[in-house]
Amino acid sequence: MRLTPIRLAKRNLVEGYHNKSIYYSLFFPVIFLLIAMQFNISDPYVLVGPAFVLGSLDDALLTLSRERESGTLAKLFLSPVSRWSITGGRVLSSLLLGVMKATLVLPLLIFQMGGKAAYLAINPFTLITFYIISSLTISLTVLIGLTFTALFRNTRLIVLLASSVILLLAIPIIMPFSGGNTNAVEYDPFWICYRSFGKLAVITTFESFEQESYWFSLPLALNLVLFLVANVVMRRKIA
Amino acid sequence: MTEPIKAIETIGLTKNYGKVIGVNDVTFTMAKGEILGVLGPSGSGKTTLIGLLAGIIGPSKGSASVAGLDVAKRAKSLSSRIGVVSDFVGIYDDLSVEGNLTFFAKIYGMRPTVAKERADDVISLLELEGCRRTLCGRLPRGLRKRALVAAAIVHEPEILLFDEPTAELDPHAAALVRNYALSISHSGRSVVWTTNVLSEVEGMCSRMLILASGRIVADDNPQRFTRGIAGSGYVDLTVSGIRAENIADVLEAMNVSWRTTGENEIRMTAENVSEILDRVVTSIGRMGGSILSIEGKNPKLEDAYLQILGEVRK
Repeated sequence: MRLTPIRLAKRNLVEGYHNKSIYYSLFFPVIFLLIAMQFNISDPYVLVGPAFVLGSLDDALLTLSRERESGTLAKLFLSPVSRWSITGGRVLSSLLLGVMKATLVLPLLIFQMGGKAAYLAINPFTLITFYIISSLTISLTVLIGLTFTALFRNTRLIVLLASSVILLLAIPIIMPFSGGNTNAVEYDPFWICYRSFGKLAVITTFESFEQESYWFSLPLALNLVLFLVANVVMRRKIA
Repeated sequence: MTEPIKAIETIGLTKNYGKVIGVNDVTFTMAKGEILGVLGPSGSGKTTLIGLLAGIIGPSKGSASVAGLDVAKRAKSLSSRIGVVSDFVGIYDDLSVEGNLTFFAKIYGMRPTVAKERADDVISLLELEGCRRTLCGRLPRGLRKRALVAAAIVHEPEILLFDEPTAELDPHAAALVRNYALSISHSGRSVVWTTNVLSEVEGMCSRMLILASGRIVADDNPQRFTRGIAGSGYVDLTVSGIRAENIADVLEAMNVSWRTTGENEIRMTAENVSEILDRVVTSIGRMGGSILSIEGKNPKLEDAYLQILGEVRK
C-alpha cells in the first residue's frame, strides 16, 4: 500500500498519455516561450513561470473532474486507498510532468532566452534550484485546482473559479516588471517563484543556494497548506 | 472478537438533498448469507441507499453498519470487505478489461502476480475472455457493465452492494451475474441487490425491501409478501358427470378451500393450488367425472408490488 501514490501517479500519467492531454501539458511551456521570445520583453525570464502555470491548467482543472465524472474517483474512494494517497498521487504525477516540462524548457533557458545567451549556467546548484522552483510553481497551480475540484461538483464551475483564481494570482504579477507597483504582489507565491527564476543565474554555489532558498519558503508553505485543505475538503465533499 | 452475525444494520438512515428526500428513516438488518432484493420505482432511493451503505454518500441522519463496521467512520477495513456496482462507480476507459482488473486488484493490496491471477479468475467467471485486452472505453454497454461487475468482485468482497447489476446485460450475462450472487450467498457472503426486474427478486432473494419515496413500505419474503397482498391463487373448474359438491371431500382432504360458483362449477383456493391441481383432476376422473374447463390465477409479485405502490400513492 505504500506504493499507492506512485501507482496512482503512474495511472494519471498513462491516462494523460492515452487521452493526449499530456502533449498539451508538456509542450505548451516550450511553445509559449518560443512565441514570447519573438517579443522585445525587458525581462523575459519572468515568462517561464506563467508558461508552467498555463501548461498545468489541464492537470489542475480537469483531470480530477474527469475522474469524478467517469466514476473512477468514487471507485478509488471505495477502495482502501487513503485520500492522502489520491491527492498525493495527483500531485506526484504533476511534479513528474513538471520535471519533464522543465527539462524541455531547459535548452531554451540555457542557449537562448530573449536573445540573452547562456542565461542559465549549466551548474548543479542552478539546475537544482530551477527544478525546485518549477515544481513549486506547478504543484501550487495543481493544488489550487484540486481544492476547487474537491469543493465543487460542477466541472464548468470548477474551471471558471479555479482558472480565475490561478490566473488572477499568476498573470497580473507580470505587471510590476513593466514599471508597476510591486508592493501589492510582494506576498503572491507565484510572483515569488517567478522572481526566483530571475535569480537562477546567481545561484551557482551551495552558499548562494542557501542564501536564496528563503524564497522557497512561502510557496512551499502554501503548497503544504493547500495539500491539507484539498484533503480535508475532499474527505467531506467528494460524495 | 466474535464475528458479527448481521451483515448490515441501519437505524433511521436518512439522506436529504436539500428539500428532496433521498431515503427517509430506513431501518433494517440483514443476515450473513442473505440476498436482499431492493425494489422501488425510479427515484425511490435505491441508489442512494447503496451509496449510503457504501459510505460514498454521507447520511443526513441515522447510522449504518456494514460487516459490523460503522460506515460513517469509513474504516479502511470496510473498503476491502464490500464490492459496489452502481452508476456512481466507474472503470478506466483507457485501460483494457484486464488492465482495469489488475490495477484495482493491486489497489486492494494484492501482489502483482496474485492480482493477475485474480483478474484471470474474474474474467473467466464473467466470460470476458473475448474482450480482455479491449479498452473499456470501446466496449459495448453490456460488456462494459460486465467489466464493472468484474471490477467490483475482483478483491473477493464479503458483502456485495449491487445497484441494478443486470440492467443493460443480455440474458446470458444477467444469468452469469445472478448465478455468481447465488453462489457467494451459499458461501455465507451477503448481497444487496436493487433491481426493477421483479422476477430476479422472486427467483433469488430470500427477502426483499420495497422503497417508495425513500421509505420502506414492505420488508418481507417475496412469496409471503405476494400472498399477503395479492391473496392466494385460485383455480375455477367446470366439471361434468358429477356435481361440484361431490368433490368436496376430496378437496378438504387436500386442505384446499373451495366454494361452488354454479351447479357444475367450483373455485379452489390454496397457497400451492397449481401443485395440487393434478391430484384433483385425477380424483375427479376416478369419480367418473370429467373436466370441461380449467381457469386459474396464480398471484404474482408484480400484482402485489403494483398494489402496494398504488396504496402508497393514495
